[in-house]
Amino acid sequence: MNGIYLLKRLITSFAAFCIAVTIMFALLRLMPGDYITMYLEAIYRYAPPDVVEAFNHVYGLDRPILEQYVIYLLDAFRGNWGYSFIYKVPVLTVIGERLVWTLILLLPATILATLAGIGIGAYSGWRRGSKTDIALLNSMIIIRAIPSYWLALMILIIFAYYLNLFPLGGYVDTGALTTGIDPLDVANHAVLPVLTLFLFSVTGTYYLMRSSMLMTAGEDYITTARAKGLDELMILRKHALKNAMLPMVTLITFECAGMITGSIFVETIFSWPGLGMLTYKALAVRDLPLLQGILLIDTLFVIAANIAADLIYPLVDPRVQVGDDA
Amino acid sequence: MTGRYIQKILVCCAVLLLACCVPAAAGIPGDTDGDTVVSEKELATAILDHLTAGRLSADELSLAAHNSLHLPYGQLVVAVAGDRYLIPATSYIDQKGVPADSLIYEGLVTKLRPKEGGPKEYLGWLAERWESSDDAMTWTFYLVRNAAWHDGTPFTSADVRFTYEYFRDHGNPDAPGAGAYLVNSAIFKNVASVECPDDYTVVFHMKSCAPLFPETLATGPGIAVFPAHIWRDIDLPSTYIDTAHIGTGPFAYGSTIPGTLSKVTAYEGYHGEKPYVREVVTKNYEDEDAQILALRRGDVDFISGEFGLSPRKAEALKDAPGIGICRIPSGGQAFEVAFTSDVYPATIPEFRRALSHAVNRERVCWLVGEGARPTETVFLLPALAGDQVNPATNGLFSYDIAEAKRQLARAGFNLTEENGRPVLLGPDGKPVEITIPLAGKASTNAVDQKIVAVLKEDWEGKLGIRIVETPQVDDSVYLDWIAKTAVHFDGMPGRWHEDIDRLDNFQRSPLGENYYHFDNETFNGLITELKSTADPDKREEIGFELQEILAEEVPCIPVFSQDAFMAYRSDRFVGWDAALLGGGGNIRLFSEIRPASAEVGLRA
Amino acid sequence: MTAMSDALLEVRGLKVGFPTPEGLVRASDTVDLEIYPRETLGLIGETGSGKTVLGMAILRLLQPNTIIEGEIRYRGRDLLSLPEAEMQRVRGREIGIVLQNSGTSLNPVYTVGTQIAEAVILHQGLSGPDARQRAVELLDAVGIPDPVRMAGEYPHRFSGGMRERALIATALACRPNLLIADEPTKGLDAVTKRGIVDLFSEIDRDHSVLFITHDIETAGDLATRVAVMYAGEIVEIGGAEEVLGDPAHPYTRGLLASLPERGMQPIPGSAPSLITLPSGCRFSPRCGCAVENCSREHPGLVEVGSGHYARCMLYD
Ligand SMILES: Nc1ncnc2c1ncn2[C@@H]1O[C@H](COP(=O)(O)OP(=O)(O)OP(=O)(O)O)[C@@H](O)[C@H]1O
Ligand code: SF4
Ligand SMILES: [Mg+2]
Repeated sequence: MNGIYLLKRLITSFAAFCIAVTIMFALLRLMPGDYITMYLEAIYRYAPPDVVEAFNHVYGLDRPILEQYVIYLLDAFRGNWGYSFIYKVPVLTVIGERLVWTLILLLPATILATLAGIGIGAYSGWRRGSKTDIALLNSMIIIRAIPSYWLALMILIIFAYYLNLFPLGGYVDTGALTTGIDPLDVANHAVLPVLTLFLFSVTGTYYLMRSSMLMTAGEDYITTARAKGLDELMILRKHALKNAMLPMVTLITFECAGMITGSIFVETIFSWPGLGMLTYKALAVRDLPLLQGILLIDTLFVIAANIAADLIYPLVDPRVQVGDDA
Repeated sequence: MTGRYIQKILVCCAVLLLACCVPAAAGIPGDTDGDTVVSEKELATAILDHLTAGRLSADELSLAAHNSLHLPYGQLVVAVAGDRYLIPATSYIDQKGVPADSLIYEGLVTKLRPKEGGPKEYLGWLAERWESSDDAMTWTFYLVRNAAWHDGTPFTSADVRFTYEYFRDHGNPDAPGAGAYLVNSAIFKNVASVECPDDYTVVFHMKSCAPLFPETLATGPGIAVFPAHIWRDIDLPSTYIDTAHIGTGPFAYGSTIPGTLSKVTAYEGYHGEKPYVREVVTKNYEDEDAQILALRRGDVDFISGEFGLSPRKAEALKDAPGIGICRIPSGGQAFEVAFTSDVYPATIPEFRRALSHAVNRERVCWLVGEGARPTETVFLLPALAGDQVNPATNGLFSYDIAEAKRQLARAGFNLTEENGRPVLLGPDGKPVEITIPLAGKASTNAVDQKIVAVLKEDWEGKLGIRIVETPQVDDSVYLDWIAKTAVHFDGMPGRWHEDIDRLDNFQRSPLGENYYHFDNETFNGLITELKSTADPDKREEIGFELQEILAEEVPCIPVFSQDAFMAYRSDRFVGWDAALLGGGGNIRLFSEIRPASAEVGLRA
Repeated sequence: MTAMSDALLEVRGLKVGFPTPEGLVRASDTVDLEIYPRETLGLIGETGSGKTVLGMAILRLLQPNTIIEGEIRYRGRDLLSLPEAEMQRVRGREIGIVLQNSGTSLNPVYTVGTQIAEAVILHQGLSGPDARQRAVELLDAVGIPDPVRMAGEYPHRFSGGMRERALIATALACRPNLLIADEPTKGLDAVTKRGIVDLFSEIDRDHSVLFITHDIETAGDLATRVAVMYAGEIVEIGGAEEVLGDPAHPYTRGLLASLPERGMQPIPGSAPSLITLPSGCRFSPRCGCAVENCSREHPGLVEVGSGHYARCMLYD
């Protein structure tokens, strides 16, 4: 039964992927402006039509749109994602390189934010109305209210510039040019961006966890547990936490999928060469192959996260069966 | 008690201030006359100083000695805005040629900023001198004889020919992986063949008269020469990843950390004047504020934003200790009010002429603030175009509302009043209404808004021209917008105003419409003539004539240009101004600055 | 009433108040009752009269901000003044409780067996496998078919009646002396209900039971004594036969009259708000026998027969 379900799920995911890919293809081609014209105009103010034509010919952009679409689909599945216009290297190479840096920031930030958000959210919700709860809730509201760009800049100015505790950007010191990349040095550079990303995402997890815990704390089975003579900590750990975590599964899987889109603010302020920055730049100059590649990867991750959420859910909630429309 | 307390604070402040000023005032250790060169005599004095009085430390003495012997010393850290300004993992060659200012590669010639009112100047890089036949159909370049590639291979004319042929062959749209080469092959489009009579002479045979061939080679992305012995075997350049970056420039490629850092090192065997700094590190800061913080903290020695620092930020840095600012006249954007000459009412030349007297440049500049200078010419910027500006056309678009009104009346416009507000009726009897699209770039928006404000005062308040709306439009659709609106603003790099050849902006060419939809037969003819004229006097004459037509026809009203600002650590390096003003970011920039602090020596 | 030392549980002057934005909800007001070893005390009353609150108050399961006064003596110890840690030893081990909403009282993410075993492990120190074995026995004892398999199932696979049984098994897991069962037959069909009632008639041979119910018939079947609650007060208490056969309090009479087989005559009006209670007798606004004094003076419990008390002016 599981096998059949999985097969079905894969088929629907594949369909979703195809639809997403088609929409993407259409949207990218509906965008006004194109790479070569904008590039030439920036240098010469005019785009010599013969150069534009030749460029489009070389990249097949002058073929009928349907033909382009078919070629694009075939290439997408063959893993032939083309070369980036800006970087002149295979799209997957560029994305792969940036993905590593994005993950170096986002993996720890997301893990920490998720753990901390769940931890303090659970505590806050369990001890609803207590001084700690109110203090936590208010600080989360304040953090949430700060515009992200400003928060990133302030963290940079305070911790890097005034307190002189951390570097002002990049991921290694200039010394790395001679000695090579030192993981400790990278870690030192990653502290502030990770902190910023952590603050960005901890509030969301906290809110959801807190309200989930509020609901759980009022459930009858918690009273049953208490009536059995369990102590509070055990009730929280064993009975409340596990139930309150259920709504978090979806959030967490999607946060993981969201990781690969990177964060444009943090990457800009901290000069961190991640995927967010890359996407922004590719979009600004209409680097079609690169944009297509990035969006394909994003789509794949979201679809994977969806499947993952579907597969994980039954593991944590026995009421949900694999294949249920949860 | 309080008095003493205040005294204490004052003393502390004074000490702090002094401490701050000391590095700012520092020059090269040992350089007593301040010419930034340590002469033999000065070096000797420095050695004695070090030995006897101990005034100079050993490191400082080392710096003085390097300077005196003209040996590269120290590390210069330059902030760049965006990873594409670093040395990328792949070669630039396949797209835009090697960027002319990359420090590693050189072209044949480069262009210098003229002195104001002075002639256009070129500087030889790999070419010592050059000449053309009278008909400008052949160009001969005599190459430097002592140049060698960074890997030691001698540089010869064969490399130049190879560069041409490589672009020619890979610029064919049907060649595999050719796409990226098209831009460059376009630069060589007019070359029929290249010949190398000997190792140090290159002759370009042109397809048609090319009086401006050196200009073509030097502007835009330009063409750098690249090594035949490396690229000869590379058939598919777009998949080749260059990791060696062998050039002939004053600096040789060192290493790169992708996306964040790269380094070049002074090249021992450089054929020209060797640099004073040993290493130049480029460090990427995507955000301008982060760049500024890095300069203030001393992490980097030089910042320039992406297109020069904004005047406001440069102003804020001016008094920071140990930091100097250089200002490049008209180095930023140039702004103009442009007409689309085939959209009513811009179709009426008198209307355009009248409005040329209704732009209050002084007020716009005052609003824009620091670094804005009014443009008094009809198009070219004196700071960039030098003696190519026709002095007779200067000041013709003076601000004079009465004159504007007179000209409008003469053209059949009728200034009336409605509800106490002026309303201009067109020759057709209907009120004149215009829409002004603003380009979507955030950096120029603020400026656009200010121009709008000033124009509204005059055009709406005094001339009765209603400005209906001023929509923000994205760059990608800007051209479509200006095609259907009579008036727009434009900000463009100053370099589009640097040469009479740039006046082909206004030509209606066989290729099609120009930006202004301007179509003047005499003008079109003159541009065609200019392009095939080699004689400098004749060219100047045509250039002046072209500017007279612009003054008469007013396809656009230049408003102002912005100076560009850069900031540097004056306590660590000296010699910025000369370098910057000479070339505005050319290959010599980092060759001419000199370390002034032993600290930069310890970094390398 | 004098304190009877042989009572298992004695509730004395219990007052429970919930502070709410609208005012203090007085869910129990000066409740006195006692439960003797091996007896079943039926607690009946309309909805909202305070039965559940009373049951929960005994085990101190009410929310933390609840105001509780009085004494709850279990084997002579006052539960209200016990430290939390000791109270935890009373819960489940000395006194078990089956909560009112059986549907939601089992944790959905653990198997039923695990949840029963949890209590056994905690109080009797059994090892995991032993505890599970015990859980299976308990499930068998409360009449769950195929208990070995069912112990490994999650609550959502249990029907309403089975959940009720599972909860009873949980409450009985550590052989408590007192079992509080809060409406265990609510919402069950007649056959299932019969089964549960039979189960209780077996249980009460070994345990004291506080059986809270709406269902007067069931109370009559199971209870040795019956207490009737109205608006937070005990209005009548005594032997089951006396109270249900010859009710003294007009409210009890009203309850009996509203039974289907006795003509189904509902008591007019509705229960008062527990925030603003009527003066005098709380039942006076609805009472058919009310005399003038009823709305002025608050009647106390008066002995109307042997061990049979009622809170009514009529017996003053
Ligand atoms: N936490 C609380 N806060 C405020 N009021 C409460 C709270 N818990 C119970 N009450 C009130 O106390 C009163 C008694 O409630 P209780 O649940 O004990 O009634 P019950 O007799 O068990 O009714 P039912 O037969 O419906 O179960 C009700 O009016 C109820 O609204
Ligand atoms: S005291 Fe009066 S009102 Fe209350 S129950 Fe008795 S008769 Fe009725
Ligand atoms: Mg109840």
